[in-house]
Amino acid sequence: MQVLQLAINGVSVGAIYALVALGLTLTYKATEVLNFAHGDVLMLAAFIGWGLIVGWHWPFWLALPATLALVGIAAYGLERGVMRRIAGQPQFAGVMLTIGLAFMIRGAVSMGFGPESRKFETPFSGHTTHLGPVVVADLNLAIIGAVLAVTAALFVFLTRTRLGVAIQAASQDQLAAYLSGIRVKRLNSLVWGLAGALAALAGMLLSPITLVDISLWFVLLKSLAALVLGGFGSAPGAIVGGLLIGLIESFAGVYAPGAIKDVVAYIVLIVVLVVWPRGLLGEAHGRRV
Amino acid sequence: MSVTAALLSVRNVETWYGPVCAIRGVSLEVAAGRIVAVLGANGAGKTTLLNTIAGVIDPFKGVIEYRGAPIQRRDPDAIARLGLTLVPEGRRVFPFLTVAENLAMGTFARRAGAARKGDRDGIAADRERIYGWFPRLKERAAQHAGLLSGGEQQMLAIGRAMMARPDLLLLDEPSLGLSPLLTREIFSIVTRINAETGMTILLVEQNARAALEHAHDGYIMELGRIVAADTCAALMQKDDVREFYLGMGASAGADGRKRRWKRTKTWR
Ligand SMILES: Nc1ncnc2c1ncn2[C@@H]1O[C@H](COP(=O)(O)OP(=O)(O)OP(=O)(O)O)[C@@H](O)[C@H]1O
Ligand SMILES: [Mg+2]
Repeated sequence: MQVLQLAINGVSVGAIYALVALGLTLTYKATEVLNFAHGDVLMLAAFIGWGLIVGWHWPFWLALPATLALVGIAAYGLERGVMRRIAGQPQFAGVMLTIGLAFMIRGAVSMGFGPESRKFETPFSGHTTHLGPVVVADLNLAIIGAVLAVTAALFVFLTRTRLGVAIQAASQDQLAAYLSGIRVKRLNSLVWGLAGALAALAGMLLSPITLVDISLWFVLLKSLAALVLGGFGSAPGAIVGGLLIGLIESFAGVYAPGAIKDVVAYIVLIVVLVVWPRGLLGEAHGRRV
Repeated sequence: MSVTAALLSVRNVETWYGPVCAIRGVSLEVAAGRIVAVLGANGAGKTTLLNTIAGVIDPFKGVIEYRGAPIQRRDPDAIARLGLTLVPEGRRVFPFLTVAENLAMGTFARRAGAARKGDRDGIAADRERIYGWFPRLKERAAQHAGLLSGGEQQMLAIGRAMMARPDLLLLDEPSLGLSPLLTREIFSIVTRINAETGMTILLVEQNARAALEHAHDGYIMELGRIVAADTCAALMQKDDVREFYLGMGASAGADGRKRRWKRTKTWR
């Protein structure tokens, strides 16, 4: 039974990593920028959610969409106002710029909210459901359900709608997309906004399990491990990698000694990079970061 | 070259790549309804010229007028939405989209006048017309474009551009890498498109014979400059054109055979 229990916990945390990794993949494919501020956007969203729920006494179901919209719009603006200026520069410029942005967000949050952790209640907190012999926290079920729904919706959007296919087209050949009359710049902003909203959702789902804390940005590192394991640049790979890292962590917490759980994601990251840099579902001719 | 007002007018355009001046003061006119060919050796600046017109590169100076309004330094997607569509050198289809999806992407450049939203029927009709020109695309409609042959990709790139319903179509070396048979097929369809729809076409070619036979007007570029401009019929009569571009050695004397061999080799 413990194995099942651990698996469900692993999958629900892994679903969060998958969501974050998916956002990273989307922006990378659209703008060739690996967004190192993605984890801090998630963290900022958790603080905004906390502010709305605890500070302003908004109900969770109002605070959730409000946070997603707010962070999504901010990320859209970030691409439009800042990231667009370095389009065409070497990838290194994007790395440095987003690392700088990450520190700015971190600094602003710690100045604005102070160093202590907080928490907010969700409609799922404290409830459990019996699935046969296993007792599962409703929060975990909500996370798995939400991530499933969002990934499915995203998949339909990217493959079945005109706009979604245009996003794919622009990521495959930006020049050809421009020449086809696609508003590539606007689409890039849109993708950043979408990824921001995904990060905000991940923050709102994760912080009830952990706490609302500056250190939430660490999820970025776990998701990078997920990306490498799943195959960099592959959306299905991001999901598989995220789930696997969640599972590995969950089991390492019980079956591995001491603090291995906290570093096992990075061990996976390094081992995969060294022995199998393509990852599980990486593109055969894909670039290596 | 023509009495009607030019659809496209390029005046004294100069384009640089960093310290390299690729076209140096080029002027040309494309009258509505014509097929205009630009010929020139490798590195003459033909691709640079088309890319500059389509907004891919900004000119350092000069004016590009389309329908009488300047378009230089605008974004390429905005220019495409004005009805000026470039099929770039090397095709550049979307490799992981299907043939049908590639064609659908072309519709983003349809002008507001073509009623984008309520235009389902128009889009479907255009797609069928393109499938009529290129039956092979219809057979492969559900296949990823990256898996098509080079010639099929060229057909798809032209088809995608046609989905935009452009008024002016720019083609950069449509025959690149194609067999003589397929080159002829592509050129006859370009002529057909022009005849059936009245679409204006500006094309760049290495295959001078095919281009001069199918186009109405021609320009010859050398080292970033236009060195000759005339109707194609007149160009084909010029000795140096016959010699350098058609390999016919018109001025051949006793040593004509030898000279022709040498020249065609260098100018290929
Ligand atoms: N991206 C670039 N950076 C620097 N120089 C360039 C670049 N692209 C082209 N050039 C230079 O500009 C000149 C014109 O190139 P262009 O590609 O326009 O020639 P072209 O006539 O299209 O030749 P081809 O028939 O081989 O396609 C060449 O001398 C080339 O070296
Ligand atoms: Mg060229």
